[in-house]
Amino acid sequence: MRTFLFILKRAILLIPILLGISALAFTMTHILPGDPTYILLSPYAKAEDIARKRAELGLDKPLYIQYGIYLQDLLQGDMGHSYRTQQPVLSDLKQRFPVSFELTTLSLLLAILVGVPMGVQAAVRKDTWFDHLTRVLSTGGVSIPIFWTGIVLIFILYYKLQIAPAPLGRLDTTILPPRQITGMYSFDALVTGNWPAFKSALSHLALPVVTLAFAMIAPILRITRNSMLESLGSNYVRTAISLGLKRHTVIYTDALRNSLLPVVTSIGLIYGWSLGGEVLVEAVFSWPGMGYYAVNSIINMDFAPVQGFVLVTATIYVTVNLILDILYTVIDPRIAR
Amino acid sequence: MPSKYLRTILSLLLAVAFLLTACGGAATPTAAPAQPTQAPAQPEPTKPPEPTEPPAPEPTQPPAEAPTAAPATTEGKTLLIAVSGDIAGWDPAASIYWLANEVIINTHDTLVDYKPGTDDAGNAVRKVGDFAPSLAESWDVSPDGQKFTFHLIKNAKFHNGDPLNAQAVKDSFARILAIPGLAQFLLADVAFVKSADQIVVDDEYTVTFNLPQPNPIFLKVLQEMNMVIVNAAQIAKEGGEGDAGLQWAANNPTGTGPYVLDKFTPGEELVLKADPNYWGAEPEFTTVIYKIVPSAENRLLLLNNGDVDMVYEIPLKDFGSLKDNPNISAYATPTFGNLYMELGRNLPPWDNPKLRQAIAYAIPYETIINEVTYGFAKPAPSWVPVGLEGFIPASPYKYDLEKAAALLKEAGHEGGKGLPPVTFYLKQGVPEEEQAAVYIQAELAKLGITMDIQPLSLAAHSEQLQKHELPFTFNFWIPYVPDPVYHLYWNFLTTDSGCCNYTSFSNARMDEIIKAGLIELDPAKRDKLVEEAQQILVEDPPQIALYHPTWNLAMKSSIKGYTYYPDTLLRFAQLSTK
Repeated sequence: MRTFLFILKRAILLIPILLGISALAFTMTHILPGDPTYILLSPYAKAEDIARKRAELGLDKPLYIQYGIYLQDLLQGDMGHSYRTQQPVLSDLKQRFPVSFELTTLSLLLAILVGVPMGVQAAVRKDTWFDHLTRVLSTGGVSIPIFWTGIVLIFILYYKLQIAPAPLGRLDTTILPPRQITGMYSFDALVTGNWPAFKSALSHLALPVVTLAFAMIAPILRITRNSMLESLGSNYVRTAISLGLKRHTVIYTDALRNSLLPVVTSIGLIYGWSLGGEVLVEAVFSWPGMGYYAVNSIINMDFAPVQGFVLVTATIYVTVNLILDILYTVIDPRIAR
Repeated sequence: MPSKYLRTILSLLLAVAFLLTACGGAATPTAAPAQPTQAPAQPEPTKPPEPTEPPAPEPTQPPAEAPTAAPATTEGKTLLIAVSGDIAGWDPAASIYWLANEVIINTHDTLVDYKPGTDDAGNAVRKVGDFAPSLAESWDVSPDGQKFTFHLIKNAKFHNGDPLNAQAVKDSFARILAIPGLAQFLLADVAFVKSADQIVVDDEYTVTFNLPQPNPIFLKVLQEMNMVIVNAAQIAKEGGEGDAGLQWAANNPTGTGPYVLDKFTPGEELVLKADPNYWGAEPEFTTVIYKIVPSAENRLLLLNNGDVDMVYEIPLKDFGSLKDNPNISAYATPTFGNLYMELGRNLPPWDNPKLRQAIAYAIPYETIINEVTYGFAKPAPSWVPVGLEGFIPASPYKYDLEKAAALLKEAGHEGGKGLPPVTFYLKQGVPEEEQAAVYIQAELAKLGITMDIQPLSLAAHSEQLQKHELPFTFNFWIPYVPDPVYHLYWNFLTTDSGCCNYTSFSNARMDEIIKAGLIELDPAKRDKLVEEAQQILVEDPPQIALYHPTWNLAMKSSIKGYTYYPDTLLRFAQLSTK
């Protein structure tokens, strides 16, 4: 009951947050210099055509009225229309979200799978060659630009060794996409038992996932290590070990669990950030996700997709944080009290 | 021992990594041309994942099962093209994007086409001012140049099966006149067809255009991709009126062309399929797939590895290296495009012609062609593009800092004295323009002129350019209708409208020349007018052309039949492997 109330409270808080973000996104896109009408119409457009188009788009009205119209549409589930793709923003995002979601989630899973155990080991074996190795790895992950990792991987594994598939999107051109359930090809193919598509989807995911995961591992690894070091140095761990409990039980049950809070927090942050922020990975691997869509829209002053994107990303971010809060209560039940 | 766990973890990770890459290996048959038509039998022939929300934009296609009727087409080849970005909006009356235009020209036909020929270097090109039949098999022009009668071919059908006849042609042009935009402008103001009443249906396959004035470039306008024939009746029926109809038309090409739009996944790919009922010869490439590959490096790798057949938008710095690969044909054809530097004629102190002449002498033309475009450009020694009728190499301006300094002195600004710093506004993301601006900046500094470079977003640049607020900037201009008077009309006619006389050039004699040229039927007299116009610009240059870029395209050398068109758009039906 207590947990439920806690969740409810947090969920209600979402509304003002999202409202504020929508207002912010709206204002920010509209105060940028440059009138989209001029690229919407051909350069040959006459002054009266430009004026007419501006009126049609509502750009001649004061900003607060424009925002009011936007909110009204939004409440009806209408996020506007992208003139660049000639599609409603909602359907554009619906199509691109699963693409980004699949990539980010798999990358994060891989990053956790590698980063957390390595961080634990780095702490346990502090100042050994292994610890130094993880330091090199995490420094690399932070400092090597993500698109560069991608380009190098493509160059070596696709161009030189020819073991990775061509960076031509999410499936081989000879493979039809699986029946759409979630829009995530690997998942859909798995569920429908479409093995050729599953294999192709996984192979196309491999490089972008490794690229993105490489950047994600660094913070996860470092935070795990530091948090573990603190736990390992604490009295209860020393006591437990001196009492003769199995060392690995102490490390993985007592110490790790107590070290997890900051790790989970950082994972949440990384996840929220990369769902919209893996633009560079998307660009390098021709991955038709949300980030690249948003960047192209910004460049072309296509307002509606940018606002839609910000809203979706914010919602995800806030939701992830909500889930994290719930997770905290599981890890440390004292928090919900 | 901790190391034991470590070993287990590491080996697990290695296994995962290996698995991931191993999947990669297995799924990449390095087989040559992709042949998706024989894709492994899928449990579900997935047509539905059409991402489009509204149920309306169902492409004009029979249900997925239907194509079995024409098994012959399954033997066709696939052409895989890597492009940099999105392609959308296939309404010829409204389209402004180059890639969308290419889809339009491949799914529709014009009444008249360009005539095949060769350029000076022997490359296959379509000639300007020469006409070939297309939907019109022949045409008659009255001696006064005011009446054009077209005799249509009788076996052309729209993709939905409707016949192409004189009424359909009339409806298509009437539709253009109802939609504000470039197409409407071309038809009404350049072709002089201002009302649908001027288009007369003589009989089922004959249609006549009556013009109020003689028009020497009427056929040139009809060649243009915005003038393709659409199925206006179908658009009205399936799309409806007003905005709904426009929206529908933007998503559903309705032409008579060799290809139909099969599938479009925004941000991912676009697929064209040959129309089995096409009136002309069946193309060898029955499937054309545009794959969106934003990274230029990857597009290059894909072509070098043979995983795509053709690549658009290769960075100039890499284009030259393609000729080292024997499996690739790289074509670089000079265009009528101009990279113009606007000289701020309307904004003091640049209203002084001497100052603008000084700038024109300070531009390192050759260096820019060699260093910025890597040689993929030709000099532009006039204000009318090289190769258009009436062109003369009128411009005396070449790189000569001494002359520039002398002119500065004459203008009363010796060594740049008394000249305020000037800003060069760039539109973001065009590397060639950024570099060229830097070269110009360095030369002006030698003259004592301080020039800042300021990038602007595409929209901001476009807006300020159209408001004539930018002193120095680049304006890339390619005449839609390849004609010298058309070109002069846009760039140098006195006007208060935005495009494209961006420095408010105004000269009474120039206006007379342009107005006379628009209706002058005698080619020799017209050329004289064009020559005189170029002379006028020497003294009072509002802008100066840095170069004519080449149109660069790279494809597998097994692909033959590439022909350059003045609109740069590729006609896929002409390509083959034979």
